Amino acid sequence: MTAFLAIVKLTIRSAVRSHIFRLLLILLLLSVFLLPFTLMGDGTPKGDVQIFLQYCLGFAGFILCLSSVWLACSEVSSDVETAQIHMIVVKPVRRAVVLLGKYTGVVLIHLFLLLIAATAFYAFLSFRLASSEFSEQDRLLLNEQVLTARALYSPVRPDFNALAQAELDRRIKDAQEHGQNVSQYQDDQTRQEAFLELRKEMIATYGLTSEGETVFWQFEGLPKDLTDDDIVFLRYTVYVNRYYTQDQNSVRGHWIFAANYVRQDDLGGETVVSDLMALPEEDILTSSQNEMAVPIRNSYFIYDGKAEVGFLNMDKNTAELNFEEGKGPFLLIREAGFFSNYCRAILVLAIGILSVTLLASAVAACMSLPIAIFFSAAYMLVGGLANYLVTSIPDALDFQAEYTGTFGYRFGDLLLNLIVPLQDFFVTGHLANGELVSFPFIGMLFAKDFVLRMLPVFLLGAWIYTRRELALVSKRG
Amino acid sequence: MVADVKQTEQAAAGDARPVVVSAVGLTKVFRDFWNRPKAKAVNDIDFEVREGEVVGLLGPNGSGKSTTVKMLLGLLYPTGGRLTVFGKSPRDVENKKLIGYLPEETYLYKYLTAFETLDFFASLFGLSKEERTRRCDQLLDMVGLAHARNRPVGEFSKGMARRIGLAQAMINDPAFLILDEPTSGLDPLGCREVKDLIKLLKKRGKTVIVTSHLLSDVEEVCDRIIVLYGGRIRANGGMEDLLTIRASDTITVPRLPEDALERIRAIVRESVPDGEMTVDHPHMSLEDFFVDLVNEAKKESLETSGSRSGGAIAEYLTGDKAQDAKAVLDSLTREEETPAQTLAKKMEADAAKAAEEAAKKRQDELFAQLQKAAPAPEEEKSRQEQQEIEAKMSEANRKLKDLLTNPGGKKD
Repeated sequence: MTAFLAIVKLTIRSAVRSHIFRLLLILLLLSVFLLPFTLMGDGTPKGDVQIFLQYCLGFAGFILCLSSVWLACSEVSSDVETAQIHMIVVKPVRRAVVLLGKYTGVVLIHLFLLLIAATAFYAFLSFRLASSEFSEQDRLLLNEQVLTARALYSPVRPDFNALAQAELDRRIKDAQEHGQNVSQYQDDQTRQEAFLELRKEMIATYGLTSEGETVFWQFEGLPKDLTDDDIVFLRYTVYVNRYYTQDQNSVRGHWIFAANYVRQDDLGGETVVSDLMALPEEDILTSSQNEMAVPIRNSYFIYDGKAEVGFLNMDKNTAELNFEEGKGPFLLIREAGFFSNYCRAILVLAIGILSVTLLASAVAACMSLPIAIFFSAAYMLVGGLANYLVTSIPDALDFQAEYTGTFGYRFGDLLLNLIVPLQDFFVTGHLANGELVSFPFIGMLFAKDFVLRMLPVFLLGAWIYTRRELALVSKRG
Repeated sequence: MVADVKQTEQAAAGDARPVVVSAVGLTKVFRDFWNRPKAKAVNDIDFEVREGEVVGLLGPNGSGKSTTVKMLLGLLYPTGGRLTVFGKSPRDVENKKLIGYLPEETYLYKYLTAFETLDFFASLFGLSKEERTRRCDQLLDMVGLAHARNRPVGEFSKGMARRIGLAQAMINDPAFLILDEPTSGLDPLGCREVKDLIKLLKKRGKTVIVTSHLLSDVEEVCDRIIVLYGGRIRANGGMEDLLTIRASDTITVPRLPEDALERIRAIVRESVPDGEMTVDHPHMSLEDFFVDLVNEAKKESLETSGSRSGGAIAEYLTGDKAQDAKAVLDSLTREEETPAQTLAKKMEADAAKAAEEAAKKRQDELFAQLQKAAPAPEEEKSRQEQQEIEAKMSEANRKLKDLLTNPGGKKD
């Protein structure tokens, strides 16, 4: 057996005997065997399964991430503090191998536990689906909207900079034509302030529709090989007025779909003609996620990978209806089965465990146990908070904001580039909503979070570990 | 003492054995968080350890022994000077295949059994499973823990843990062994076994550095000692050079009749004043007494739950599987002989026999002389005078003692 394998084996043995690890293991077992029976959904089979998928797997993943951080810190750091490392590094084994062996041991035991938990959850779900008597409608909803893997397509985001600039130019021109004094806009700063205000206004009113108005969304990059048998779903959430509220109301409106026809012209060529097709007026629940199958044939709806969807507000009781950016509408198209998607979600959790263990090992390689745990926890916490900046930063960086704003955005951007948000690895929400966890997404997550962010931190930790004087610390264990 | 050091260094200069450890201007300064010097643990020391030497590193607490040992092992890095082990940096990984280390406290993984512990350390040397099992079993037998093979080391007494520590230090049959307080925590029997082991290792040409507070242990096993104090070397030399009191002689003979003893006194008195001569019975050391006692008990098969006295030296350390324990022990002390060595040995044996005969002859002559010798009247007178002087001195001492212990009494 090589030194590396011996250290891996020792780490696994040590883990199994750690009291805190045992405690976390009990929590994991509780989540596997008790959580499924304690969670209650919205009473529908679809809601129950969604809650089960989202929380059981999420809780197990969270426990495993915590456990791997604790164990990695403990294994690497306490060995130095109790001087047990002296007995190892005086043998012909490189310190980098010691660190890598400990990391591998911690990762292997957690991946094994993740596999056990995932298998148990899947078996429980299969048993529940097989033993329950659902109505035909419920089963159809489950199969089409939850137990599936659908790629999610967002509408094309308008170029707010260009739109704001065009609108500003138009208004200045209008004012000049009406004989108004626009000399103040000769000044760059005044013009910039007006541009920013206009841009902010356009973003805020994007997706806002008053009674009798229609708003349209363009979709691009859709599959070109869809048949008419494939079902395309439309998912959306609509809010009353521009202020966010959880209050639910019933509002009225029409969904409008562009249908494309290829028409032969007089010269023998082909022209694509786009007609609008409105669905009957319907009641829509606000502040709630709604989903419907697009009722027209795909060969008409999607042309050359593009589609157009609109909404006509017919509600007389509310001032405006708001389709917030990031909340839809989305198009969903099935690409894989549920089992495949389930395995992908587990794979993402596994990447999360690999990443946080890498971080904890690196930190523990240079710090004492309490500091290493504090640092790792703080890193993940800051990562979680920094994630909230994700939506605002891309907007802000498109243009020249004021000094303090720029500083804040740049800082947030730096934070996002350095720190890995833990929630990146929890895709159970996608799984519960029947959304595809795509391989490009997994690859991007692995490359961005594991390779580009955590691996350099680990290499830095390993570099310090191989150079530090291990006998400077002595706390008898 | 300084003269002794110089003498030893000169002797070492003519030593052709390869250098295992070389320290030149070795310095270690510990610094605080702000990189300010906190303590100079080792201060510009020079020493060498050559192949086959058993060197004792002595000094009170805080003298720099452990720091020096940790620098030898690459656990601490020198602040200044140059330190090499087998001609390479102490941090060289390949070098560590040749080194065995027993730390001051045995830092073991408490959840591993004795066998698993040794197996783990053997794995770090990349040994095959069969070889690991063989070595572990033999080492457990050697350190007297074969019966505790499957017990977690967390349940071990300190002495048992030291034995496991010693076994792990020997797992790779090291050419250079560093033993930090090897007898600490061991019972006298264990101490004896460790010391015997060190002696055997020396016979096999191994290089050993021993640090210990138990000076008698060091004195018994080491060829040379380096005494550190305040991070500096205060003495460095061969045990014989440093400890022999050349101004005195000791004669040990079997029990003599009183009259013979008296005659010897008379002869010695011719050269030495009576006050400088002592005649006493030699003492057995407490350790020897204890070891004999326990060996007696062992013969009566008394049971103990702790470690038992060690068994045979591990076969892989001897290189011969077929020999029994005694033969193994013998083989460790016996080096392979070349024809020239055989001849030299024969000559040596002849010389020893001749010396023994000469000594016997001298002893007979001495006894013959003693038989003839009788106290002369002048000598008798001189002795009486001496006794009177001693009586007066004793009286003076008694009065002085009274004065010191009860000064107030005299005033009254």
